[in-house]
Amino acid sequence: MSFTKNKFKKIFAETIFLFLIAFFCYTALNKLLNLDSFRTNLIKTSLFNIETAKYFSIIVVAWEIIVVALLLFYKKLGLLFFCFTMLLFTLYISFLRFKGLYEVCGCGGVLNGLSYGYHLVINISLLFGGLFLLILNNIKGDEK
Amino acid sequence: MKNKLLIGVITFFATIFLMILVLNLIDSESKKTFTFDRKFNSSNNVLKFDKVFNKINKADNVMFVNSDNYLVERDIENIDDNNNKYQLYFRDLNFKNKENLNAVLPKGANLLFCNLDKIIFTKNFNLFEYSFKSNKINLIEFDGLKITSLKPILNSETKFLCLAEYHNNKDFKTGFYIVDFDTKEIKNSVDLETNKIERFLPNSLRYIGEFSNNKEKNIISYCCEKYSRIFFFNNEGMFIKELETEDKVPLPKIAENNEGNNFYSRDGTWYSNMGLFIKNNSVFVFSAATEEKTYISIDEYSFDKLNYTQSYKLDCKGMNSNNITSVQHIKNELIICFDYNYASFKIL
Repeated sequence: MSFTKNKFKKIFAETIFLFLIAFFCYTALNKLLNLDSFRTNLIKTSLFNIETAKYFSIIVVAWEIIVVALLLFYKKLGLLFFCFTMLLFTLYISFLRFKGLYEVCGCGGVLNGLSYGYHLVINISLLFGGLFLLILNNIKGDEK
Repeated sequence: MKNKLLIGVITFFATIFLMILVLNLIDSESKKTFTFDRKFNSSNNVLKFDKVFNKINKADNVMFVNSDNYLVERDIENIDDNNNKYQLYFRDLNFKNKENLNAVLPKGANLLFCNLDKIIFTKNFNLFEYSFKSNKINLIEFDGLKITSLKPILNSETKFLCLAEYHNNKDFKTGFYIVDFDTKEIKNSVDLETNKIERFLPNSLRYIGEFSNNKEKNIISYCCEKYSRIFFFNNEGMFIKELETEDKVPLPKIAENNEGNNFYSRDGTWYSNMGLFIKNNSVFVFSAATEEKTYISIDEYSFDKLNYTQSYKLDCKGMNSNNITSVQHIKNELIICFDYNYASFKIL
């Protein structure tokens, strides 16, 4: 019984982990393929001009790739960076909403056009997914 | 050491989380809405809802094309690398189907106006006229003039009132001009702004709006969608006066990307008025500058004094003024074109 429960927990954790990697791969690739569109969305918020949007867009894509690499090779650190990224990103969209600058999501791909409520729910779900894995990973580390 | 690091990380995460929570629970005081204290008239004695009509075009939204005595929708079909086939559906203002016409136009054509004889469109800042009789496209050359939108001058086949930018070798003047397609004469009606550099694209966005006419009063009006101004012209297209609506929405801010494309900046763009009609001595304006989004808000202004008098709530199946794309007025009928369908009203 305990074996089945542990196995299920492991499969569940692995599924979430793979999903987080796939999600960041997808968003990074989508931004990279539609870099101009991503920059335009940044400029529309009025927080960026042409120059800053140019550099910031590259930093964001590079950051996402780094997080994916960390998740693949240094799981614990990767999860920490993932959670940190999702927190900062949620802070960013919350600030946009607060200032009335949020219209629809401009992240790219399937997320494009997402209303604020849905975006917040997705962000928080991903954040909790990352935190869950981080805690699980810590417990395992302690057990060892 | 490890514990200190853990406490540091947890504190940092908790701080950001708290900030997110605060930002989601409160509203910024700097968020502008441009609403004003409306004096609502409890009896709606302006418009009476009549019917809802469906669109004809195949796209999800109503693809409305400006016309004079018709409601026109369009579909586009790609036929080759350079051309598109435009299917135009003409209906009269009683929604009876009049005619469906086809035209092959170059890709990227921006349809400004059409009737049963012709289509007027722009492409790469040039103005063209397509004739349904000859199936030919003619370039209409106006020296130094780039046109954003136009409306036929009452009782004229060749004269149009247009919102345009005119370059006179010295300045770029955005304003309303009367143009004659036959004589190629350009007559200034009113200037909106003068610039040293070309501002055609951003100004097309800033002054975006819709022409309408009132045949009883012989007045043409231009209602800006994102700027609280309505301009009135006589039947010759000459400027009479302008009304600044109470919402006082400023001109929108326009941003530009590295490809030179212009678009509205979210910080500095608000909806103002989506259309109007004139009855007796009053101007009734469909205002989008409202907090409440469950009804259509109509503000009444005196046409003579240009002052605000009162407002009305128009209940139309949960629609609000933001959903309005066009307002057509004929005699005692008013047709409102929404994003996905139409509604007709009797003017009381």
